[in-house]
Amino acid sequence: MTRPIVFVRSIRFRLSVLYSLVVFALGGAILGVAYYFLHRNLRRLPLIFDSRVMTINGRPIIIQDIDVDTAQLVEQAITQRALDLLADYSIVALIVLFLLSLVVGWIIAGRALRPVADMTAVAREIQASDLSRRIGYSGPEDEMSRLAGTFDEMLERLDGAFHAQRRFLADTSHDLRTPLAVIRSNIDVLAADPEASLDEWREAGGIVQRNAERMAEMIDDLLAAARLEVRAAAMVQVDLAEQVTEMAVELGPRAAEVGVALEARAQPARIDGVPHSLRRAVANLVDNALKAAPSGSSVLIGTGTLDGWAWVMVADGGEGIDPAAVDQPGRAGLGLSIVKEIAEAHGGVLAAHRGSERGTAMVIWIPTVADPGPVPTGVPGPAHEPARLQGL
Amino acid sequence: MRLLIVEDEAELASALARGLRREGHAVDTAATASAAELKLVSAGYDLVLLDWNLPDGSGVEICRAVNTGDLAVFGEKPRVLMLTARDDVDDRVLGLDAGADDYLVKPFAFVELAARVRALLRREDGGTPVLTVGTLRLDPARFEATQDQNPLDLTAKEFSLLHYFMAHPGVVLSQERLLEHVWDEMADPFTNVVRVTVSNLRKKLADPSVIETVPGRGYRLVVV
Repeated sequence: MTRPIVFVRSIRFRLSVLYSLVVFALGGAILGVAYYFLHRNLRRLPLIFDSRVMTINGRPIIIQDIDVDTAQLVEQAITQRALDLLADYSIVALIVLFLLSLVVGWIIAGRALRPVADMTAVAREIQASDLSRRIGYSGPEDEMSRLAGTFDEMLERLDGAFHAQRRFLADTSHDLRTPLAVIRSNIDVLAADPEASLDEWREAGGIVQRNAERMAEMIDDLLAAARLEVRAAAMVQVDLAEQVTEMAVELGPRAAEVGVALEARAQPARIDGVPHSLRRAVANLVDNALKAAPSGSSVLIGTGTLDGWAWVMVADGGEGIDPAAVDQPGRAGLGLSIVKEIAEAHGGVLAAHRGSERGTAMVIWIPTVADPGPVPTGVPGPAHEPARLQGL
Repeated sequence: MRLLIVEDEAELASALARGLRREGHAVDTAATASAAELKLVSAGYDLVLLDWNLPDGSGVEICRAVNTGDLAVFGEKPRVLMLTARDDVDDRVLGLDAGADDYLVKPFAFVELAARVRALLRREDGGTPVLTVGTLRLDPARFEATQDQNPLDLTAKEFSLLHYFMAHPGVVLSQERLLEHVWDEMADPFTNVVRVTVSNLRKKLADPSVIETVPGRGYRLVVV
């Protein structure tokens, strides 16, 4: 029995009833006023009042055959009949008007509210896993189109956030599965072989240790990403140049371990940001660069500003990564995903460039002004050497 | 049977290669898409274990290229087992539609991988888990071979050689073909390793005449 309740509770029903009542009241008032004045004036100003003379159309007519009293009675009867007829027809007309206005009101309210019904249908169809549907309202520019537009924008944002999260999860699970697979396969294969030597077990132990460390680092990164969300609000003035200069000193020993020199070429680049997260982003880029850089080469960290944007670049002379991989789920890896998240949390972007022969330059662009132009393309600054980044 | 493992995690590739060699397969590895393509055009493989994300390309693309013939593989098209950390249903469908014969999500139990490898190679043997030719019986899963119900004491290489003979009964198999499918890329094509192994296998058989030499052509498992 919910159906009639829903029907009565609908705005369409209330609007059409309200509309009908207004039409009914106005119609009733007009007819009532007409009746009242007609009634009053016919009674107050009769045609026959004192003598045997009555005036019809301005012409005096002498009444000879009937007396004045009788003539007045006849006139009163005629007047009363006219008034009664008027009242009867008025009531019928009002009832018809009421019913008609109810129907018209129902149709008009339905037309005006159709976008709302469409929006409800779309909202109902949207599943948590598919936010790609839009209302796509194409009516005149009015309250409804603004509501539909706002709703679509909200869906757009939700869709984006949902995709980013899914991508992040895909990257994370992919990156955690790989070391797990390495550990598991090594142990499985050795465990199945009764002739496996102690040296082989020792080697497997080393592999397990390294991969367990890799997984622990990933979990640290995950926690860092979670922390980033919490602290995203606390933006302060940061000079990227100071940050990377410090970091180059801190990370120097680690670079030296793999036989790579770390150079910082920092030009002032002041932005509003979260220093902790920015350092994490640069550290992840440097980590990747150190892994890619061949022994004996150098990794460059540069900062600077260009056209309303501040940039941090980490460049290496490794094999060079596919720039498109940064935007593909499963290929970017957790570390790079976090860098991207951090750049985007600062209103910026992460761009990858590959040398025509070798070398990779990863650039984080962060706006320094409220309304910067488009993100500059290409590798910023003169701070790269052809020897390191061939053909960039 | 000869297998190619395409996997960029060196520590994973070497563990799998070791395990599958113990199962009696000839195993090569490739760490990049370009290395894999090079190996596929220069040697005949029965099965390729293919990782999805490679540093210089995608395993799915290799799989597609093998199936459409865009990559002119050596010999017959190998079967493909996708080995990846991507576990989305969409990804599995994409991999299988690209022509993969099977799909295994990392991390997996090695015994499952070995069983799937056997299952895929079995399709080539004619679909039976245990091969029987005359009085010879070979069970790849248990690594057991018998003749007249007497167990044969074979080395891994002799076992795979017998397996290959039994998968192609009555067919004359050249030394080159045996080298191609039973040995991996480390085998020197100019050695007499095939001749020596065939002769060792014959010695262990109760009835050596089941493997006959076809002069100038190769060897054949006689079907009684």
